Amino acid sequence: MVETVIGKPVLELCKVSKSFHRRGFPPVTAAREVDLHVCEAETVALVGESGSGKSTLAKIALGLVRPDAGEVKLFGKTISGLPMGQLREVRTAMQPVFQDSSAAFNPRRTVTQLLSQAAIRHPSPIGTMRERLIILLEQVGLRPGEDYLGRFPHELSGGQRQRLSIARALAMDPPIIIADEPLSGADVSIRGQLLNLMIDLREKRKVAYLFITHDISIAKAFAHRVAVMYKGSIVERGNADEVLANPQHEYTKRLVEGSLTVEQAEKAVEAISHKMESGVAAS
Amino acid sequence: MAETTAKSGRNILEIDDLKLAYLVGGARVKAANGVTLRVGEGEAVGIVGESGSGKSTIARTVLGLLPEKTSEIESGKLIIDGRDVTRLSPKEWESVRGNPVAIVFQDPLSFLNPVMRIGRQIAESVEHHDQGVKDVKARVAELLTLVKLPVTAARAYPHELSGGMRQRAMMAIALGCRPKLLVADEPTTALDVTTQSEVMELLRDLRKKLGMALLLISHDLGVVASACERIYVMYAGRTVEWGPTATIFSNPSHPYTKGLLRAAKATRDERGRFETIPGDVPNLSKQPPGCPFEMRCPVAMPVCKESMPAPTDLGSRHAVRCYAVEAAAQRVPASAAS
Repeated sequence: MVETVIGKPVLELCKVSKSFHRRGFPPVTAAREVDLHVCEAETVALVGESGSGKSTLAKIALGLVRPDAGEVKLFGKTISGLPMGQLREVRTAMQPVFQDSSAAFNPRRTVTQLLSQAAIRHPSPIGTMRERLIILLEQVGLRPGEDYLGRFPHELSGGQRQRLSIARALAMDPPIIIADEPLSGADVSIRGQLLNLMIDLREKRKVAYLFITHDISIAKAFAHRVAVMYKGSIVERGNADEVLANPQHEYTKRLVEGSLTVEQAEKAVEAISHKMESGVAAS
Repeated sequence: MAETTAKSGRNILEIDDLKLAYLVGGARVKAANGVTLRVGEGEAVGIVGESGSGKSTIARTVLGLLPEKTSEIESGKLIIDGRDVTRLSPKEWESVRGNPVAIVFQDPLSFLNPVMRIGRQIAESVEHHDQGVKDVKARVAELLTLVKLPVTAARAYPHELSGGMRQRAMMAIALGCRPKLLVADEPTTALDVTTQSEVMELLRDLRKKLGMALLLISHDLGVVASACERIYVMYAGRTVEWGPTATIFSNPSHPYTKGLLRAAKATRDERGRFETIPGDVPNLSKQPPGCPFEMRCPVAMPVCKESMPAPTDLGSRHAVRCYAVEAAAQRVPASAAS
């Protein structure tokens, strides 16, 4: 059960549409009049299969892809359509974390170089750069921070590198993080650590998340609200617990039932042992 | 430990205390550091482990696909279909690969030839490994139907198919060899949730229909449980616990298996935090002499630092390598007898 959050919206997507055209192919509609908002300290999970348009929506929110129609608002101010220079200014409020942490960093830069590039844009910095970087690293659980400053990305494990992605996203103290499948590269035993880190940040720094995932059990446990995307449209949305426990739309049902989760495996195991017990009793 | 697994009592695959290392720069990366595993004829067995646990190395070893110059089998034994294949030459491996053992990989796009039609690629495997077949075209159509692809898919190039269809095409190629054992290395990891369950269902059906054994390798306990009768849990190059799927789920014994199950369920505690296993997956190039899980283990004892425990038999073909479990089993000797 995740507590509900009521606050003012940080990020709003209003009737956003985007289609891609390729010569010789029918146009692909990646987003069809999508409405979505994320409030302060709130986590909204966007679930759906690959090709459903989740990542395009994330890119539209970040200003990396221009929508064909509709608006993106940050704190109520329209940012879609701003010229690049101004967009860059406002975009510091909104930071991405991507799936593949090994592709997210320049392999020839050290942790210090990678983080300071972002930290230098912090709106109201305190202390020296080195001190700030150490605080950032320790905040994401890379302790002691000094040990990591001189390292290159390849000298970190996958889990450590994904923490570094989060540290870089935090360097500008953003009110919202847009995370596109941030856990799918991480091992199960590391996944919990990353999620707990994100929950800590949500509680302590009131960070909001637009969290894109295909993992139903994580969406259910981590998000306040969920939006289910299918072929460019949001087909079902609401409280994460309710939607995923009792899906209404056909597609959501398929998504929830199709997941080979551990819970389902356990149910199957129980069924088998019941059968075995009754079989023993019968013979 | 004598272990018979198959319904017929015969094993299609036996791995005995296998140790092997990759030579990377000057270092030896011990990707397998004591792996013992059995797959009976017609049996479905899963290997579960995280990245770096050595599970894909096992897949490569069983297919003879280890890099020749940069890997070395240090000790142990590998027996496939009654034949000792531990020290085969690359040439000799050709009589093993395809039949009796075939493989499907995680990423069909890098496995399939992008400039050859699917039908031709399946036909190649039939011509090579199933020379009794007179009408190759008919056999290709039969294989496509078997993996539930339309026969017209034979004319398609890999890029024209969806991810799920490509995975089916790769299965058709593997089945064209008429393998007795199919190794599937993360076959559904790159697929969507709904496609994933379809492909797993197909694998289950095929195994029953063809009476073939399956060695399914995955990081995902849910996927493995959906298709396998028995599970081996690997950690840092070692098999640390194995047993029937139901037993592993209802009565996990190794602290790592327990943690993995709790973590996979994504449940939150009263403080709203997720279950985790503290620490990180170990670096395989600098391994301690003892149990590799010792640094992360909630029940570690001093002896765990010194050496790796031998398997403790918990009965009903359930075994675990853990000193804490061993000590508990000795206190209650009745539970250890089987």
